[in-house]
Amino acid sequence: MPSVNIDGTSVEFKPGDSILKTAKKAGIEIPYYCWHPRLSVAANCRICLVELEKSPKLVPACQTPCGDGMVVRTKSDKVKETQKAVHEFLLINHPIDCPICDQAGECKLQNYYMKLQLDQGPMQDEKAHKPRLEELGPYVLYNGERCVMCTRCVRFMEEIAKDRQLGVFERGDHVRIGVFPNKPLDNPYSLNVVDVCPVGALTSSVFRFKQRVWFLSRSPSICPGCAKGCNVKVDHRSGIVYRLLPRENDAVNQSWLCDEGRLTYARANDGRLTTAAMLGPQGVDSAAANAALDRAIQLLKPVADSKQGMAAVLSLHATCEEAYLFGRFVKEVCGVDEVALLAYADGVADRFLRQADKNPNRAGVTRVLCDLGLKTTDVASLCNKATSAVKALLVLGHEGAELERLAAWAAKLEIVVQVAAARSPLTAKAHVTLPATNWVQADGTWQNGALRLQRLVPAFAPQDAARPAHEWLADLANGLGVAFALSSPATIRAEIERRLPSFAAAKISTVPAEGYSPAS
Amino acid sequence: MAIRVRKQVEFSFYEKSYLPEVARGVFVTLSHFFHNLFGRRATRPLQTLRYPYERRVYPQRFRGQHRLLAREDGSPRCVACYMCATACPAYCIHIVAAESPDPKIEKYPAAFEIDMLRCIYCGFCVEACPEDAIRMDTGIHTPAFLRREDAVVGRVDLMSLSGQAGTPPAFGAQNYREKKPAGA
Amino acid sequence: MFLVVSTLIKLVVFALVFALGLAAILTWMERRQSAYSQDRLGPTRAHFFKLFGRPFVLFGLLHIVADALKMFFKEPFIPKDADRGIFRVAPLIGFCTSLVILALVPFGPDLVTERWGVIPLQVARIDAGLLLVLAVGSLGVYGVALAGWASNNRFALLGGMRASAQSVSYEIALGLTIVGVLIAYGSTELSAIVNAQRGLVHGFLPNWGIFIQPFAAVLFFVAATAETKRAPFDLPEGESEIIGYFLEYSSMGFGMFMLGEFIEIVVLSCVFVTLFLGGWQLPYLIGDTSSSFLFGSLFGVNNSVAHALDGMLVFGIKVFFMCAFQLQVRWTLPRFRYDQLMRLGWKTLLPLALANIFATALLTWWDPTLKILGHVGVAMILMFVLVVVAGPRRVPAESHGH
Ligand code: SF4
Ligand code: SF4
Ligand code: SF4
Ligand code: SF4
Ligand code: FES
Repeated sequence: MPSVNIDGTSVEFKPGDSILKTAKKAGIEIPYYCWHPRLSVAANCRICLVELEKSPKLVPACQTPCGDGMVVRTKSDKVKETQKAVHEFLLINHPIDCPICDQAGECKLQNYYMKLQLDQGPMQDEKAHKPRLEELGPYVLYNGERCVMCTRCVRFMEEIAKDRQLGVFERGDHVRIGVFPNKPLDNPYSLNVVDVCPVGALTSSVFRFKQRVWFLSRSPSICPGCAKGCNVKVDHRSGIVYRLLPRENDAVNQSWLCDEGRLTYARANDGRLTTAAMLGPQGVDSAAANAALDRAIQLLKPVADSKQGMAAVLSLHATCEEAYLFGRFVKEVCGVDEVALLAYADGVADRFLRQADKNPNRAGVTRVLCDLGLKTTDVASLCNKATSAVKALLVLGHEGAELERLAAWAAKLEIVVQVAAARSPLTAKAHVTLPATNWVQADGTWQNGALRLQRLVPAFAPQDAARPAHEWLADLANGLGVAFALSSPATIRAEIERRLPSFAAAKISTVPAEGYSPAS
Repeated sequence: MAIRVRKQVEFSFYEKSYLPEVARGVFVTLSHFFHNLFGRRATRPLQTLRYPYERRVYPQRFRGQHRLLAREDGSPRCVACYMCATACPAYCIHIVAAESPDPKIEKYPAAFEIDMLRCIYCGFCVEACPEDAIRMDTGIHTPAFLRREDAVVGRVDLMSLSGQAGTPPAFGAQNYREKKPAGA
Repeated sequence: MFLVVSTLIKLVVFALVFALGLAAILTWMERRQSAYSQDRLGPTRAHFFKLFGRPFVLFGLLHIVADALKMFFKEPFIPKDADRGIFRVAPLIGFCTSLVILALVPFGPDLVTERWGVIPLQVARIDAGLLLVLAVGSLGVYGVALAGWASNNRFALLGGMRASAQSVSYEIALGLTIVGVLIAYGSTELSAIVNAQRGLVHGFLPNWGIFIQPFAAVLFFVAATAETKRAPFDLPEGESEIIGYFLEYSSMGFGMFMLGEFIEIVVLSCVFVTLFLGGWQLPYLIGDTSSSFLFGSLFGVNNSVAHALDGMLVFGIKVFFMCAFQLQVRWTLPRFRYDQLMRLGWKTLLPLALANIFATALLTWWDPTLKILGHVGVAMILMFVLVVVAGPRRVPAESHGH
């Protein structure tokens, strides 16, 4: 392979790769603003200038392809001086109001200022003023003063979203990013421009001002928005999720996320259940976890003894592990042979990320239940059944469109037990509600529409009485006289691998961080 | 801060025999005892201050209860930047930022609460503020609270306080929930 | 019958009125004395009403009342897994053993009456008195150890362990220091020891233990302070590290421990006065003759009752000053470290006490009239005073500002 000499070390490169990319791979840092690994090269910010031997001028590293035997210097005095000067230029009209800027803490401009410039700059004149708060679209706000005109946002819309909604307008001091008249930035991928913007020029109206980013903790997870299973980072603080950001995964979502999926973060917070509840004479009231569990066991006892009259509903948000335990529970303890799946209705799909199936784990849940020998049906057909044959209803999960209908149907039943992470119409009808963890807190596996297995990592511990659903199910089974020796998701995964044919080769117990598509 | 290394003190046999030094120590404390017992306190006054009846005038730099400053139009100077909350070692500042009606200002604190029971009066928040919006110069000693909720002081209360006007407010006017301190 | 009545009266007067009363006053003295020693004001707040517009605080004496009220009206809390029976009984053990010791101490000269014969002013005149003092005194640690153990709290248990280890270590030294006194006065009965201290050596020096046996007196005082767990030996309490064996006690349970501590101070003072300060006697004036000096000359009565009153008064004053001295020591010295405590007990006090026994035995055998012992004692005291006054002084290290 041809090689190039960067800062004295010889680095091999793929023909056609730029100096910046090659250096980055070799762990040599060259600053950049306008370059983005998944966008075309614009080479307009000039912070990446490096010294090239035999070249009279400095060259932009992001644009210059490597040539065999090239000698590049990225740390020479000349380069440093230039970087400092370029940075000075970038800040000439920049307001530097970091304290009130939402980007502060994750701002390239801040980081490079500390690294490359670190002085006041000689600029004395009044800075140019531009619109500071422009609504580009429903989710995106633009602050012209903070923009460094790298055009990443424009290129994203053009190249990735394939929808030219943004453009560069005016020239010189008046230059700004904008939308066309009467054409707001309403592309379903619009919030990605906030991610690509290296500074605080573009901000999300949803996350704006909610938290300073340095307070947030971050953990990897999967977007629950659709069957694509985009990889996300969950930013949370004190048990509250504040935003989802795309997590890079070449096989699924590259570095992008659709707006719809991004906004599912609210589902992790809304109406979260932290105490058990029981239906008493005065309506639903919170109860001690143990008391609620005992009550649930007592209610389900006749069903478990007679092994009939039970209806089971499982949300398609459940992890494979939960589905497995749920399946075994309803089949072995309650004698159920059909599980109704609680699902969101199909939605809009496109050719980029969004899938029509708005449930993250339909593939996993149905395959687990099928392997366990259970039939599946939907909630609608369950609700069409006469209630006379059904005595009890067990529901795991709260995510789905037909909850109202299910709740109305369940109101006629004698026994309704629900294990759910959040309040839903069903909560008011359930005789016992056991608080479970939601997908952000769960340790489990989802399988997306393309049958890719991806792992959910718990972001924070369950609060108060909430416990992972599999623990509730195991306790219920225990109380009803069937001991499941399945104490953790890991033991469940091991058993899935042992017992379910669809997962025998799939190695569900060793899913790597970036997920894994079984060969079949 | 320089690190000071304390040398291990070597004791002589005389000191290690302990008793003579004990005797001397007893003489020292006894001399203080008799000095005070026989009322010769003018030459060396007692350190005790009979708080609440007597109160020390706090120095100008005394860090008392916080206050938030206002702009000329009465709106808070604070821009809800969370710098104080970030600097606060006791995590006792709670801010909810909101879009300011004034486009030049961008953010303002829709809620700004300090939990006085958690506050350790370190003054870091004052140091951190880029807007000089928070000060601890009211000279108000933390009041005694009857309920925990009272200890969480909100933006309106914080803005109603003024800087120290010499002596601290009189005893009894402490709980501003019932009564605003003198000079408010 | 008469014996029972007189014993009861003596018990009430001495153990309950005198000792308990003094202990109560000591709780106030401790605060006031420490305050003055540290240039503070001490207790000034407790009052029930105002006089001339100022709270009537009576020098802070009302704090004793406030304390008692508080102790009685607080909830006696017993931790969940505590051993309830032992937890309740433990505070009483230390308290009772202290009172038993008091029964052995003579607090005045014998009362000679025509009607009832000779009445000793001592609740129990027992030949093995001194041994009983040691025996009963060492039982006191049961209260502490059991309290720590029954609380089901690791810190309380640590406190109890410390107390037992400490008391075992110092008991030996304590016992040995007394042997010197026994050799010199030749009796283990306390009133006999007091009587043996009558008279003067060389015509001017009182025949007191402190002059005859100054070294034993110091050792005894140190060991006894350690036995009573007072500062600087208050490691079982160690409030800054383990809080102590009474950690789980509230209300009067804690009150008993606190009062017990002060009673122990009184007991220690009583025993010390008896052994080393001539008991109820005052040389030249009281005890040398059977005439009454104070009450006799004041009221013109010169009988045995006046004489006994004199003796009791002198005894009380001596005890009071010993108590005050103990408080002063507490507010002067910082607490020992545990290893230092053990080292002092085993490696210093024990050998010194042994040496003292041999020296005393030798000198007493040489001269049974104790004159030489007196010489040596006075010489030692003078030397000590000299060392204290003229001994080397360490120049205080340069103080560092904040
Ligand atoms: S964009 Fe960056 S440098 Fe500019 S104000 Fe925001 S945080 Fe500061
Ligand atoms: S808005 Fe952000 S991404 Fe777009 S040009 Fe300006 S700085 Fe670049
Ligand atoms: S004084 Fe210190 S502890 Fe109190 S609010 Fe300010 S920073 Fe926080
Ligand atoms: S540092 Fe100042 S401006 Fe920022 S939030 Fe605190 S008080 Fe407001
Ligand atoms: S990164 Fe190369 S010019 Fe912007």
